[in-house]
Amino acid sequence: MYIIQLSVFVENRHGRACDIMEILSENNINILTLSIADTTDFGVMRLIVDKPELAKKVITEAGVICRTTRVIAVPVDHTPGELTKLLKILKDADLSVEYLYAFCVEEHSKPIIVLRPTHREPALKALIAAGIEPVTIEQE
Amino acid sequence: MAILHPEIECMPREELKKLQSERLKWQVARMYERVTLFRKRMDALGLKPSDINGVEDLHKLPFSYKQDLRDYYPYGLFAEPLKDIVRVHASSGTTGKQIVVGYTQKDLDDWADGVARMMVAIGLGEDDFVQVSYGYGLFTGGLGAHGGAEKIGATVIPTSAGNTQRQIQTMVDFGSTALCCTPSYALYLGESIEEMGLKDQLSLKVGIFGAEPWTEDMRHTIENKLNIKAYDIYGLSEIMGPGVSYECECQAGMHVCEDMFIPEIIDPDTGEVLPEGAQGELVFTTITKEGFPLIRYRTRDICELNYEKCACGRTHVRMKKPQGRTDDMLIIRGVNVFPSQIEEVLLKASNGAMPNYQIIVDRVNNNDTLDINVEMTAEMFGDDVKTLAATEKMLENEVRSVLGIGAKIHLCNPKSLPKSEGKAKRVFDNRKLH
Ligand SMILES: [Zn+2]
Repeated sequence: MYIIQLSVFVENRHGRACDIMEILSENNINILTLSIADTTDFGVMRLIVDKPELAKKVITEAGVICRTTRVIAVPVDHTPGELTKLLKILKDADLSVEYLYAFCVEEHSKPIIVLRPTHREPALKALIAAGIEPVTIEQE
Repeated sequence: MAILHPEIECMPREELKKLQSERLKWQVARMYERVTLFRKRMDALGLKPSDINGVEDLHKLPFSYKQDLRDYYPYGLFAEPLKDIVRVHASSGTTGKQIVVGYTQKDLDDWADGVARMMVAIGLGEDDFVQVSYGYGLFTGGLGAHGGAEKIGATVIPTSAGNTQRQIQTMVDFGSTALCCTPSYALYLGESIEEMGLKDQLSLKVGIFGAEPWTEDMRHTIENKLNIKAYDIYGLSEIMGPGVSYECECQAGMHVCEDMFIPEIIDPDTGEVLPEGAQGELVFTTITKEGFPLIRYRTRDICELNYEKCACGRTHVRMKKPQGRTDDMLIIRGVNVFPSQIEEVLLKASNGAMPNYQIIVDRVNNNDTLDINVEMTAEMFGDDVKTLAATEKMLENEVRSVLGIGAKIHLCNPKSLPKSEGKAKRVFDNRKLH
């Protein structure tokens, strides 16, 4: 019901993001999508990769703090109003969204929205009740 | 609780002042005669021993410094013939040559007396078993505590430091009722005892801890782990060793044995004596010491003195736990800041596992800035920016409430800061570069 997201602590320092990409490519880890949340001092890079456990291990070994979390991924039609529909379900269930971003993969025809609601289980319930089925992707 | 020498420890301050004045005059006269460096410094100031009529003239006397002990190593500052020196102690310190101090038999008796006053004050006596887990040897801790315990007629268990398993076995089997060691070793013993499940087999009542800085939080942890009351003792080998000052049962500051040592608080920059209650550098004059006396010795400890009579009945002045060292002190926006204060905040916030950190002071547009880089632990990291920002904010608030000035906290990755060898490397005062 969930997919694994990797969050990495990135100091605002020249070349830091590049260092992390290098670690992943050296270990043959493929990135499906990523988003960066930043403040003036640091950022948190959120990644969906094909091998999250391996990624966590190699990034940690490189002395960078990271962790994996489970996030909800739902497919939406690529038409106006689709995201509104999705968010309305959560709003009506009194739930908020901490962050969200989107990506596409070959195995699914529709864009996939990754979202982290304030409360994961109730959000999942509300979505399923509204007929929206979260997807999983192949991850090692 | 009992008082070993009420006539001295509770002496009215006017009388005490007279006693100190007499002893000071005696000390100045004999040192002028016997210690070349002291005589030279007096002469340079145009001072004769006869110019010193009492403690009110103390401020006229020249200071002495740790460097003097290195410059006149090994016996150049001794004031008695070496045949009358019955023991020496030495300390190497982290930098440079070791220093050496000497004691006559009377000095050793006085030293033991200071420690004995504390032991009596916290309820120890001839029925007690005092385990001395300070190191024995050139370091003053072991033999200092040992002498005090013998003086009160307690049974001394001289385990010295180290060999924790045996240390704990001894504590249980011999029925130790008092423990003397460094606070960090007490903490370690407490943890080991907990692990071994022997806490309920201890007979310990009290602990006497000193020779390194420790916090109130540490005190509570030690008290809980060992099920004792933990008391602070202060001293330095240049002046005597442990027992220069100590906590009584009221634990409201450490009583200085003022019939032997006169403390002053001075401005470390100007050397001016500061008014009662002010914070500044602690300076000691030894007025009874024969073998290795010092006049106005700069301890480099930052401290405060409280001359109010203590609830225990003692009139001897109480000193606060030293707040830091003059060498470490930073003046930021006019406020005295010690790295140890920042360390305390970080230690508390990280549940006792000290994160690596850096303190960076700079000046931007004539304003001092304080930045603290802190290595994060995996536990501190959530997957969102909010948690991290909240951690930064929390640390910033804590630092502000402890220091009284604001700081910017920067979280960074583990091992990203250079590993510090010695505390000095953690502090970067870039203002000096401009
Ligand atoms: Zn008292």
